[in-house]
Amino acid sequence: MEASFNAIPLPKVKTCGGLWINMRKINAVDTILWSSGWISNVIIIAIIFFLFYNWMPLFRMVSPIEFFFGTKWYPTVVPPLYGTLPLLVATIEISLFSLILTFPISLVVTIFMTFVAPKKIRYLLKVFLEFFSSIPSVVLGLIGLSILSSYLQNVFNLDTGLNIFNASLMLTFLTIPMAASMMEDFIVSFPIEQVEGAQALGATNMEILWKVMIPGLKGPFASIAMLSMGRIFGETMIVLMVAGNAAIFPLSVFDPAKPLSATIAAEMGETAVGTSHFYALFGIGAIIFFITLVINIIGEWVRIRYEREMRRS
Amino acid sequence: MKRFLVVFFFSLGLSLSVFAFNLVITGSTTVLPIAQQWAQAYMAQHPEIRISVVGNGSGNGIKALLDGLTNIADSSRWMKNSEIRLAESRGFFPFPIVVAYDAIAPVVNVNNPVRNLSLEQLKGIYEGKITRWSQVGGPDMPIVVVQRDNSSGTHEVWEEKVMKGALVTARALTVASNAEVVRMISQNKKVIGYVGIGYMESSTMIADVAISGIKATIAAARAGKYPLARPLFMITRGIPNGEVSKFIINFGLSPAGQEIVKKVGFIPIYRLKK
Repeated sequence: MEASFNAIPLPKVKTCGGLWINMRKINAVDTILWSSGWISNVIIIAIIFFLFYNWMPLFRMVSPIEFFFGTKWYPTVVPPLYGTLPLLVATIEISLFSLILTFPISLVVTIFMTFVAPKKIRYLLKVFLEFFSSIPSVVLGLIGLSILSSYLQNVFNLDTGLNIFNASLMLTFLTIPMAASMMEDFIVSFPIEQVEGAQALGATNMEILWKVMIPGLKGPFASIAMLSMGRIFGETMIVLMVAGNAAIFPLSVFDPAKPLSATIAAEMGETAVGTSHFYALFGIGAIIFFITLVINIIGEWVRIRYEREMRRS
Repeated sequence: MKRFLVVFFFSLGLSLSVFAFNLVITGSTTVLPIAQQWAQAYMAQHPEIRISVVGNGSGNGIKALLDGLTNIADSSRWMKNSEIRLAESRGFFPFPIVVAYDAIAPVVNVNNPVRNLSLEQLKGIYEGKITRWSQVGGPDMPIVVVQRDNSSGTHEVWEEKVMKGALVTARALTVASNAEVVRMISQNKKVIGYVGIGYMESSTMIADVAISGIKATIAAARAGKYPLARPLFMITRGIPNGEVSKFIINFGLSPAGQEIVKKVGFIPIYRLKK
């Protein structure tokens, strides 16, 4: 029997705010669901407000141009210099380099898992990826600090093994399980009609993969790239331990750098509330927050566009 | 069964309160070895007392003291005016006690032959004006500069007495503790850094550098000849009483405590009888 919730026409009532609500008894479940939905929105707005509230006082002492485009970050000298440009460039370089390393490797691992590997190896690989994804980032930082840095120093004859390359490599280890599992989800849930259609036309497995699936999955893969980028951008512990924390404009991947998140982690503990340094660190937090927000919004938008396209076809 | 589990976990949670500490000490990584050794010896003498010792930088220790999160703040520097005023506004005056004297020594890797630098050379290296070891009498390799982060009392003293207002080069790597500096130097022979003398013996791969011929020793610091000597403090909220005063004044400043200071590698505050 098809019972429709709205089978009985209920009178719509206009409230003072102009909202139309159905006249039915509001029960406890309604209230709980409604308020949980609203609480998350309120919390996000509260976070944004909190960030701005603790950031705006900075611009009484420092000009916005100097904050966003200044090239020297020396918060403890007198008078302090709060130029965040080298920090932003460092974060962007580390994130881009990690993404460049993660995406192809995850793609290859996923394709191997879903198309090439026999069942037993596929199972082992999945277990291995699960294991990898549960390594805490501080452990990865420790590995980068103790093992990878001396290795890089000796093999590439560098001044120091704590650099962008080290940080990006450890971030890649962090992100590959996440990206690979997301890609696997999309490949496995690829519309079977398209695969069968290609099979009917006589395509081999590899041709189906490269000529049907990958071009068709451009949207989701772009959104996976964006989501991984968002994850990498905000990662703090690894970059704090292995990026070297030198506030320069890195010219090569073997230069040390001071990313935004590591700056906050390293300096917030010592900063007294209400000083310009405090406001500047909140400004950095706001920058990270907004860039990550934009990246995630773009990722979601690409994913939704893809879903609409797939539904249409 | 369910009720049993609830009671079990509840009492487990309650029993965790046993692990509450009688004394919490946080702050300078330079003073950390002293605080740790004192805590160990004190807990051996008084088994019912539990002391927690953490090293995360003088600035963090003082901040914890201001926030009421620690009983004793270790500090390798004097408090800033802003910190003292903040303490006043929170209703107490910070009471610093000198527990030892320290000297900061520039250190290099043991495979780097440079063993003597002047204050001007050190300033030039840290400013980024001197970039290769060959410019100061060493082999021809680039100098990698390591500094401490801004919560470090060691760094403050270095800035005040060596940099004298000049900016440290942006290329300097920033690390969070004395132990980190030692680790970096042990692994990389191009690095120069600075540590408190308590850390000079902590690795066989590091060697201290004399400043204009004067090495960082107890005698030189006490005679006032060594330029980078400084007092080490333990700061309390107001005049210490109870466990805090027993720990610092009765134990730490006694000959037993000062013997420990000497054993750890720092300079006792008074001459110890042999």
